[in-house]
Amino acid sequence: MTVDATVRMSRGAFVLNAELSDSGIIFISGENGSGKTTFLRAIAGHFSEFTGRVMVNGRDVTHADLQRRGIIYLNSDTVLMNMDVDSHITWPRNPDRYRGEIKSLKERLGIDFSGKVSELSLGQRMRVAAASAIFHGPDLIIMDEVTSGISDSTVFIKSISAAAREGGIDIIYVSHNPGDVDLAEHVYRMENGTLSRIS
Amino acid sequence: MKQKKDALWIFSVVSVAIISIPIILILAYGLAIYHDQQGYGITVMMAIALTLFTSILSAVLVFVIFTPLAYELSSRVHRGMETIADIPASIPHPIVGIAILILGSPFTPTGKFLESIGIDFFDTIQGMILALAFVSAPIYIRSMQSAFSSRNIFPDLLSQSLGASRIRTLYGAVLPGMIRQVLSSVLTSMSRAMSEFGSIAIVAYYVTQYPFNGVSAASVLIYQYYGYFGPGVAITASAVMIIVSLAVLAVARLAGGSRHAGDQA
Repeated sequence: MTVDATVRMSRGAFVLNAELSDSGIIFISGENGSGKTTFLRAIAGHFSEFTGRVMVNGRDVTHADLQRRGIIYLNSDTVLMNMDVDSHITWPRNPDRYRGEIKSLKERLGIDFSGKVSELSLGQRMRVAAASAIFHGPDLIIMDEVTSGISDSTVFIKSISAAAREGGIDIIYVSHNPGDVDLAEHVYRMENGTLSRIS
Repeated sequence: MKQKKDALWIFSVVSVAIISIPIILILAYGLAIYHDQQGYGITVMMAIALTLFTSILSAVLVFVIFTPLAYELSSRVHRGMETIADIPASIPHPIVGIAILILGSPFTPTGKFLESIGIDFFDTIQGMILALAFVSAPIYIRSMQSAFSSRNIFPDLLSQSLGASRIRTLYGAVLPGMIRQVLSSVLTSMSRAMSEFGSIAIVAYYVTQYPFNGVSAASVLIYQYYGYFGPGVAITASAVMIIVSLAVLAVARLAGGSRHAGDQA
């Protein structure tokens, strides 16, 4: 599994010229405003006003719809509040058909709660969102500072990474928790719109 | 913190007075000074019932037909679509009535088709509902467009990334979390429908269907009363209609929830 993304764009004085070609569990560090989120959202297909291309496993998804892109972007707002936990995990599919898969995924990610997502804590919501992403088996999951509200962020990323590895899913994640970088197989740094590989 | 009564506050009070004084006068004169029992007799009550019935159904129709358009306009730029959506608000409403009559006229291909499947708009409840839906649609579309635009877009993007189509996202992931905004917009649309006169005076001056056979909408009836009896009965009937309209507006406001100064719309 490989992610191969080149994104070039400018917004006012800010210029983003970033290239990433890697696989596995990838960590991107960088100051606020360095271009991390813009780069990741371009890869995710949230906008198309950039030049370059996004390839996932040799498939060009630069102009692909979100539904067919095989990339799921998560941040602290990517939660479907009106649903219950099980419906969220399988959305848009019917959870009644996937009871076994839901049970094992919830156990794996430490989801021992149920009920409406809107009534959960931020950390619980992020676990549910991550479970949804894993359930659908995309090529790539992007986690943009999802661990900010999670006390045991290292455990969270470890469990997601393990499930992702098993499913052949690449992960790119951004976090400001110092310990989270140790869980990555590859580390990048974004500075003033330029992405460099550190390790 | 106590708010200071500055020049802007004074202008606002004057603006509200300009709107409310005529309403207060109609209520005062209609219910007390020019009070006339015919103004709230069975004919007026049936007219108000017809107005409420058709306005509710037109609001439901507007919700069903125009919610996807409002969502589309909130998420993508469509200058042409936006302009077309505003047309009913920018043309004189008798023209809307004439357009609907032409649509259903047996001399036009559309009318011939509608006639072949048993649909008639002239002096019918369905004609009145269509006219009301047409004229109130822009208000609903703008209201829902604003509600959609003020939301966080990330849940929608997640839903689509998980495989849901945009229409599935709208009905399964977006609207269930916006019940209050939808209800408020539907009621605002209904309020607009209740106030309509121009188009229904042409399409359905009175309807010829059970249980409203021979009944006119309240706005048309008040116009008739003004012409036949002078202002007395018309003012009393107007006052009754205003009370009903204010009740619907109050429910719409309550449904929309309270908004504090400084909140984003």
